[in-house]
Amino acid sequence: MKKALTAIALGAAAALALTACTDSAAPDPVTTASDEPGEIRTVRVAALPIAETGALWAAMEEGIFAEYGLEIEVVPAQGGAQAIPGLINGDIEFAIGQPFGPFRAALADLGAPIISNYASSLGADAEKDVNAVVALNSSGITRPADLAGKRVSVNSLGAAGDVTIMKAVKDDGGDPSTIEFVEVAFPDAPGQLEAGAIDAAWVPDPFMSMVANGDGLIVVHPYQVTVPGISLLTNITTQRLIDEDPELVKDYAAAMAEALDWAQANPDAVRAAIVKNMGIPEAAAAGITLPVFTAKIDEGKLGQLADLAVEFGVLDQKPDFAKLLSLQ
Amino acid sequence: MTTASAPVPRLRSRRQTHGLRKLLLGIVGIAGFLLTWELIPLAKIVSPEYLPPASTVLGVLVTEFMDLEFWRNVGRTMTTWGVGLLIATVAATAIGTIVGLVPALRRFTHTTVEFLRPIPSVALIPLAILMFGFQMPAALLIVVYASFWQVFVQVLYGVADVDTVARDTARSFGLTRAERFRNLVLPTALPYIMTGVRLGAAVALILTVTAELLIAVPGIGRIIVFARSAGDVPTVYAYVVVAGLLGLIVNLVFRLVERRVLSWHQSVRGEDPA
Amino acid sequence: MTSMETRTIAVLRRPRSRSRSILSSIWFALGFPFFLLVLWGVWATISPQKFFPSPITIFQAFIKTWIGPAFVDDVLPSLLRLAVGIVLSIVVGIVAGTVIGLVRWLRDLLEPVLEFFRAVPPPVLVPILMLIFGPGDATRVIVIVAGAVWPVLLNTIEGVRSTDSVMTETARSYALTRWERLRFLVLPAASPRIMTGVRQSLSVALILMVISEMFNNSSGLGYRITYFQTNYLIPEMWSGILLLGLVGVLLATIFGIVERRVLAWYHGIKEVERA
Repeated sequence: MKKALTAIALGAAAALALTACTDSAAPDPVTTASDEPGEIRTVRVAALPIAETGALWAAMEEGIFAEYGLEIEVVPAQGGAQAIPGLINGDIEFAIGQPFGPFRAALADLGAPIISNYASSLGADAEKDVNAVVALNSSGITRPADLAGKRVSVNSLGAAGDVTIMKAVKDDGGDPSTIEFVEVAFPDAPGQLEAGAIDAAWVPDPFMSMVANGDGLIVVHPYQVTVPGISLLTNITTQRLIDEDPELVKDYAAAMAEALDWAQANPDAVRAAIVKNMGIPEAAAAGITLPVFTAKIDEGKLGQLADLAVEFGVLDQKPDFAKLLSLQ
Repeated sequence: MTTASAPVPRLRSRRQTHGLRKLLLGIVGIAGFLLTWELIPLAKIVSPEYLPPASTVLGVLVTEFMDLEFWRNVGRTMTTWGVGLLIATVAATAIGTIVGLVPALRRFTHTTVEFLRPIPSVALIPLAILMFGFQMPAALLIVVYASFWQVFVQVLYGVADVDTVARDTARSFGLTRAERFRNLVLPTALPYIMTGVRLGAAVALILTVTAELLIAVPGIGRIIVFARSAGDVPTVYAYVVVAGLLGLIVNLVFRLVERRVLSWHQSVRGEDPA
Repeated sequence: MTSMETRTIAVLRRPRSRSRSILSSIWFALGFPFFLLVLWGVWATISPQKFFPSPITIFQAFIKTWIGPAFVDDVLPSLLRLAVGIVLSIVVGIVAGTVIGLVRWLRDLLEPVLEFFRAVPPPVLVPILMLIFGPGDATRVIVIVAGAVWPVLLNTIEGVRSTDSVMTETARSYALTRWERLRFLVLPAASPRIMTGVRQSLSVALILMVISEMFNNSSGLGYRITYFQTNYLIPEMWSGILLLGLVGVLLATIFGIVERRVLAWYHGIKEVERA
């Protein structure tokens, strides 16, 4: 009798609790703007859960990809090290990643070329840039040359971050070989900076603003002072897919180009998408420095980046641009 | 050694009071930990921006409990965990028993086992993605590879620990191989296997969340990634607490299972007053 | 006991020459791995895969990467941290395990909190630990100990609890002090289980050494391997994994020697019983 009563009581409590539950994953009614009832193809795209992906999210919601008969499924990969094996496996068709991934893939002959650009850093005449080296006010680091002999964090060693920082330090008269680069993920960098575990950190928004508006300062925008307007993120796919399904690749590239142009013209929509998909509060999203969304690849600047990488010993040799690029 | 009926009710109430005491002490331990957690950011040992006080995190946790998606994610994590642990245990028990019972096989594979064991699963992530893409099987590979060895080594030791007098007795009694296995090898190996499964279960959970963190397979770990990227520190810690709680629950469950299964064994019986 | 009396007709073992027994040890140690290597090599030749280079390529990368300054700069410091971590894990594991195994209320108090911490995944735990303990070697050792202590701890607790009750009664009736009981009864009785735990913790320690170096680090064996991984230096990555495996084998060999010493009485009993 006692057990039955307890069971009923528990059941009632559970039912009550369930009615109070929310469901944060209830699907929104998605409006697909598609005039022709053509064949919709699902395409899996690997993209980091970062602010820059806002353009993709916003364009998806606007229905731009649907116009080309494409339905995008975003796979939140953790960077190039995973995107390319995923591409080779075929689990994803495209990836959005920073150019060093394809650099290395070209050198290792993995068959993962760049088909177009996704986002670039701001040009030389812009007031600020999308990422910066930040340090605490108390560290005494005010200019690039001060970074010599210090512990500087980047999110991924052997990529654009440390290469451009080394060049910036060298141009400012410091000795880049004395910098100790360590790998710290962007979200952890402000904490480690404050705890004194690192002297300076290379971070994008929202972390860049977090530190600069708080107890720290921006030491330098490394991209801006070395290769301004350099490609931040590119669209990558496999040579195999290009050979097997050139139509799909062309359609994707065209859709992406239109999406990027649209996003560049509609920054508010991009910010709204960032708020919605990442859960960042609106105030913080308003302060994010957005990159230049463009599908146009600047081969010269990519070449410069590659040369710098070779100069500082990050790459053994310059990648073969014939393998690296397969522009659509 | 006369059977006295009087002590029996005493024994039962003793076990009850012990159970109550155990619960209270456990709660005291957790309370102490929470208090320390609350104090560390308040005392500015670490900035509260990066280590929010326990109260903030618990507040977020309560909100999450009410969200259905939270429970779905927990379900996804536990599914990956369960499947991975099952595969690892079955494979490790099967292979471990065979290798353990045949000394030549044991020596033959010894170097290979010792070579493969310390390779971290996380180092195999690119290979997992290469083989399975960003799907659950990739996470499963990571989980199974790590937990397999935990159970395997314990099985090897357990199977080898058979009491030789008992074995000779069994042989002289003419027991068949299957009977010997069931009545002799299995009971001897069972405590070892249970410890192995308990260790393997913990490892499997840690690696499931880690794989979800690093490969962004759906589950608790993936939410941690999203929260981190958004700079939402309290949510990160809330989900870390969830991972810890899951580990606690898994451990409790396996303890209970172990007590049931090994109720005849010294280590469990030795607890009760003789 | 009876087996000793009746077995004076010793099972005559054919006296093996030293070279034969050495050869057989080598055969057992290297036979299977060699066979697997050959399989891999054949498969790599038949269907070359970018992510699975042939063993020869890996071997060449191994020589190029690890024989040289990298050995002193990366490998040795990592191994040192590993050694310190292992020793600390064993000491803490045995001491804590004995205390917790024998003192019931302590176990009840600590177990929930300990089990909670254990389940926190290292990629999340490491940044937190670094916040509290700083970026130095101490934190990395703490990470290793935080994970490697568990197999030793758990096995010690189980071993201590499994002390034969008849022997405990006998020891008590002989009025042995608590310390004497601990030293001559409980610990030796638990030592087979403890050694199982130590064996497990060796590989856990190695894994955690790699993980501890993935964050806020600029040198070390684990760091190098993840660097190779992120940058598609695939033969180098495999050579790093090869080195990890070799270190594992080395640890296991050392452990085997130590185990034979510590558990000589245990093996001896088994040997006699088997004869």
